[in-house]
Amino acid sequence: MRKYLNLAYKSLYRRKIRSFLTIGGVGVAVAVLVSLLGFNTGYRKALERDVGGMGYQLLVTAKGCPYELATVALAGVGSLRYLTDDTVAKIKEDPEVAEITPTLMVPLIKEEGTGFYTIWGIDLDTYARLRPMMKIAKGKHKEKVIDPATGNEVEKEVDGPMGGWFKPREVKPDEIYLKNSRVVKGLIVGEGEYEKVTSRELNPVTGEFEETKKTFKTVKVMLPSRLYKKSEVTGVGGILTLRDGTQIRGDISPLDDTFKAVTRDAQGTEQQNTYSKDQVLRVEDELTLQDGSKVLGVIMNETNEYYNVGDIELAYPNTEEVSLDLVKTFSNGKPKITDYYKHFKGETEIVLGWEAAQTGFLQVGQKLTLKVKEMTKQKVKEKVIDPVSGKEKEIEREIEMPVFNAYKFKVMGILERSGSKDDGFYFIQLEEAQRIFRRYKMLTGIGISLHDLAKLPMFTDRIYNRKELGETQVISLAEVKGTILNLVQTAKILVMSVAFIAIFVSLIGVINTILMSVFERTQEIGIMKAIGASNMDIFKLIWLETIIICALGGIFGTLIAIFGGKLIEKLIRAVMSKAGYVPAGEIVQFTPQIIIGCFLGAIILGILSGIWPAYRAAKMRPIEAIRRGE
Amino acid sequence: MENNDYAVRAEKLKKVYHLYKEEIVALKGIYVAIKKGEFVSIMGPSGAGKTTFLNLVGCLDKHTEGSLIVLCANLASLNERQLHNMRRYHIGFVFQEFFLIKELTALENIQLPIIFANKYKNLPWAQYLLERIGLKNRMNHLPKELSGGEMQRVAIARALANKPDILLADEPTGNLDTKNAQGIYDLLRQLCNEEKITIIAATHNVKLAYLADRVIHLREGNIEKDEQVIERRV
Repeated sequence: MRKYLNLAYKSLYRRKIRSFLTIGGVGVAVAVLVSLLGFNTGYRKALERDVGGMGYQLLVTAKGCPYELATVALAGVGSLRYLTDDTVAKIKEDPEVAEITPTLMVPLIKEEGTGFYTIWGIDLDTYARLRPMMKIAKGKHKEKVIDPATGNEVEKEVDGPMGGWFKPREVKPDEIYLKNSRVVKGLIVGEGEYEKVTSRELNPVTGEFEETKKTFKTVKVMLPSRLYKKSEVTGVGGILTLRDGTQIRGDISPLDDTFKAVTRDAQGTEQQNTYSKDQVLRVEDELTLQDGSKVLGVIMNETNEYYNVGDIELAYPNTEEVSLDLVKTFSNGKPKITDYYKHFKGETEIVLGWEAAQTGFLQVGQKLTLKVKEMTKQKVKEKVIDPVSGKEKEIEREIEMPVFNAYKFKVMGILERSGSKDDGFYFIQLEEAQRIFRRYKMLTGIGISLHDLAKLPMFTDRIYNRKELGETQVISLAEVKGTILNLVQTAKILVMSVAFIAIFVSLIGVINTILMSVFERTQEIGIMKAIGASNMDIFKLIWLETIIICALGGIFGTLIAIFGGKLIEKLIRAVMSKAGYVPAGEIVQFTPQIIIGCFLGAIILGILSGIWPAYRAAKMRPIEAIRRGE
Repeated sequence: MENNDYAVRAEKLKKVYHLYKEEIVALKGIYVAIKKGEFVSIMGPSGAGKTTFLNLVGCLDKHTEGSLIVLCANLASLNERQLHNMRRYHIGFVFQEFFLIKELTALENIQLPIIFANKYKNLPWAQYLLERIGLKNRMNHLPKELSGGEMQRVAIARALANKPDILLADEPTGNLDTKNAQGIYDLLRQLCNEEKITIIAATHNVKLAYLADRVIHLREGNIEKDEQVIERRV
């Protein structure tokens, strides 16, 4: 082939414009193909990275449209439905569950109204086990630290991990078993003492009452509580749990050594029983609300309007001092004072995804304020003219109003770049998220990994059959991926056929160009034959020209695709983000296989389209060729 | 004489063209024998069959009847491959219109037949030929940068690139002025004498024709006269 190269090149060069246009045509077809294949691989990879990066195989959410839920799970935006906290414990009972982690996703609309801050409330322990890929980034960076001498914040250059996760702290509630069998669930947050008058006796000498005071050592227990309006409570009762497991519901009144339980049966007949303290395991109060739901807890105090019910899972803690004299045992051994309270009052600790940190120019130790716009429903009074009476009247209407709010955080750590959606997220502790965003007991999703993924269908059935879990939906992430890929596949087939039409058109174009150039060069071909070129020589020469055109077109097209790839990516992002979910990272990705494949494809195109013109040229009879040219 | 001594032997050579259902008989069964090393001029008016004869000898076309033996090969019995080997190794062709490849330089044009013949070792021969035709300094010029005479010299050099036995020239001076035409014929004469190449040149020009060893006059497809040149007119 080498011997024809010079000649082929020169003859193509002679018809510069035509050659260039043909190369351009092939180039565009190749560019379309390369971009499409690049998109296909890139999208698949990005999706796999997103789904694989989830770390869990299953996602349990409240019932809803699966695609929407998947979108929520993957992209962190969308409308939300909630599960309750206790679902986690219920699902955990299933023997197939290997790991389980509750999450609460809160999308916050940015103040300027464009885009979201996506906050994930996570339970660090379980979350980290399910998603070991989430690591604190390392490297040279700057941190904000408080200078102990001046108390001012200073910037310090550090080489090493970029902060860390949330500070470890004991958040599991202590259970304090009191001597009267009452159970106090709460966090021990301090020690105290108080004095109590134990006896008052008349002093015969002074004629005055003398008080004997005794000092009691106490532990300060934080009891998260919630107020229930008396108007919404229809019944107050209690549950007495005996050591043998039986529960007695009714009016429970603790006496000195016994408990009195008054129960009523269906006919309304009252029955009274007493139980010795040794028999009783625990006593809990029970409120029945208007809607029939029951609230378990400890009624800590009662006002004219409210019952204040303590419940460890709820926010807004009250503290109670429990006299050590009354304490029988602590569930966690010795009372250990946790710093929970301190954290509770302080800034919420936040860990940032890589991009979230980069775009906000955030450093470890820095304070972060997220300014957001929240939509709230407000009742407004409006004066309108009644069309019937013609009189002005006042009506009340509920409208959605934007409220501007700011949440304050302290940056604890920055996560390693993962290339997935995680990079743009903000992570805080689940309880913090539930508290500061007022989503008590609420979860958006529960991530689960199973011991054996093959048992997934049985597991899913079991979850659906357990009515006490409420309206739930089990999403297998493999299925989600499959669904999205199916959608993409359909689109791909359509666009691929367009690409193949483009290639077919360019094939015809190439054949046409070369054939025209063959006819134009009839005489030249005749002369070449006259001076000793064989049919094969002519065939190869023309063939080579075609292959050169297509190879150059291939290179040109690949270059267009690579340099235009970013543009295509932007375009796809713009179009697809309106539809919902777009994976993070590069969604148009060119692998060496694609580029080499398409280049070879272009050459094959050249080989195919060159055959006919080359054959025509080779078959020309020299004398006729020379004569025809005259 | 032995068969080997003849470069071309034609017996009853007939060529018929078909042009729009009309039969044109270009050669009407001529008998010609040309010895090796002979310089033959073919003369005759237009349409006499000069070009047809050269094309047949040059294996560019096939005769209709009779036999044509070129360098001991019966052309009627050769296949396509053997025909192009004849053209490639044994015959050089020079046209009136020079027919140089426009995009190639003088040197590249001369090298082209050598390249087609895959004889890369012989590439320096092209340079020698350029020197021989006196165009060494025009080596890298494109055809459009050369004069008519120079172009024809390059075309002759190209025809000689594979050291052929026979050089066929179809009106080689038709597009040239008298001075250049004389130069071309001098070159042909020289080649014939020094390289022992058989030269068959068709021409209108009586003066130039008699520079050859032998002049064959054609008229309407027949040989009118076949004369040996004994004394050259100057």
